[in-house]
Amino acid sequence: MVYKGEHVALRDASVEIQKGEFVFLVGPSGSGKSTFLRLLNREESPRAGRIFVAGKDIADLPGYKVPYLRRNIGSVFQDFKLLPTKTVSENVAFALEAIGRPKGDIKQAVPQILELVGLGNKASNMPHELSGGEQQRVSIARAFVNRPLILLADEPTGNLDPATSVGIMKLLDRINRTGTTVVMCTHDRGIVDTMRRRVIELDRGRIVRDQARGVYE
Amino acid sequence: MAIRLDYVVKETGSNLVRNFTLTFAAILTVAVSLAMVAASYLIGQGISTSFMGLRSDVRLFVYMNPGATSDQIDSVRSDLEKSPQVKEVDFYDTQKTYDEFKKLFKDQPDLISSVKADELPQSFRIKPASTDADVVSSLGDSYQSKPGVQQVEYAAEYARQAQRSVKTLNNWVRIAGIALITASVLLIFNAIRTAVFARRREIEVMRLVGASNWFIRLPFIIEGLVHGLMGAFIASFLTWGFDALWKRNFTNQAAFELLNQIRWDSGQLWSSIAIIFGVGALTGAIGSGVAVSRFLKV
Repeated sequence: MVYKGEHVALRDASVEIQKGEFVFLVGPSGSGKSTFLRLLNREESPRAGRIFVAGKDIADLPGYKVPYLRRNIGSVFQDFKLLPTKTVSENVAFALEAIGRPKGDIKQAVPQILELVGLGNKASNMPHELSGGEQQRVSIARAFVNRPLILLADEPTGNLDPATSVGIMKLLDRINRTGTTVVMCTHDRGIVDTMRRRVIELDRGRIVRDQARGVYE
Repeated sequence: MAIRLDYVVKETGSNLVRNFTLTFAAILTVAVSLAMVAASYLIGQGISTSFMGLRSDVRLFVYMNPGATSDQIDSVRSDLEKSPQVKEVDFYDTQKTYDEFKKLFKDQPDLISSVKADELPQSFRIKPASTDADVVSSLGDSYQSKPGVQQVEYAAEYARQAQRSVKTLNNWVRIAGIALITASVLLIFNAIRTAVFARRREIEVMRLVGASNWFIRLPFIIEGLVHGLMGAFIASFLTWGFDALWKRNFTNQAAFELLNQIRWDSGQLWSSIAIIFGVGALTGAIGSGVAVSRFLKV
């Protein structure tokens, strides 16, 4: 991945992630972690090389097919990206409405997923009435309500205190156990060292370490 | 994937309400510009209908005195036939003139019975080689003084000049209409850009969860179309009002010698309204289409 002005965000990164894996991407700011995630859901396209998601090369995927790729990939961010004018359940339902799911399905799926993330009693609250950890749970619920194959998390605990972060990681772990592949960027040493999952370390756009059951370093 | 109608209606509706001032400005501009286009269309149609007769075949009449001798008639005839400026000559003798007279006034039998055939002037009806105003009038003048000639008429000339000035006026109306349509496109463009900006969070989320491109775009495109069509709706009332005013003030007033010839029928009024809706829809589609393709990354 090369940005304008020949600044290389990610170079010669060759990596294979199995279905159902839990992978941490670590490295300093600007090392290419976010670009790695953005290549997977086609927010970005590579200058060269191939990217396979679920066995399909998405590097040259035509634009009109990109939405269908993204229906199989949930995304969670540091800043939650919730809609402030919608309630918790409306926020989650919006993800299903946007892909044209029938009303009946939505009515059934939303309370179920809110129960799963532990927000069954906050369905009609507004996002600003929730704590940071709860807001991140809503965003995870929204990312997972469509049962995607892959969950991409870009520093999901970046804005949260350590105790709340543990709760979020437990939730992501639970989602991973349902067979969903989780790829997560993080700067949180404690989390990586506790979870002992596969760690891919990036530095200035190159993969410098790829370790099963790794630590933050 | 089908896009649910209630979703599009809800989203478009809330966009329209949220941007009320911009929506209002866009719709009003569309309405005024479309009304001007329609007025210009109607006047244009009126001109071509009313001057049709004058523009076609006969452009010059040379009326002979009722008492003109056949020598005088033959002399004028041979002059006309020799003239290079004359394309066709048709001679209306007493009988032919009377037949035409009876046809013209067939619903006034009293008038027909009171006129005798030989009281009507015989005439030459001439189609000049050139339609240029100066050529026609000099041709006319050269026959005015011939012996036996009562009068040369080329009323078409006056009408043509009138027609020219109305056309000029109409062109200005049309240019103003087109300029305003351009302004409408830009206003709609701006309104849609603002709507896209106001909903950027929703759009971001929709992209992330894999909403199809059309699902994201459609409410904005429809919003632009609504601007265009609401403008057209108002413009059709303005046009209807223009039609009524014109008919009341000009068409039935003998005082407006020039304007009362410009008429259009209700079919043309309806087609002007069809044009309004077509151009309105197009204006909205172009304005919103450009805004969506420029500012809505999907």
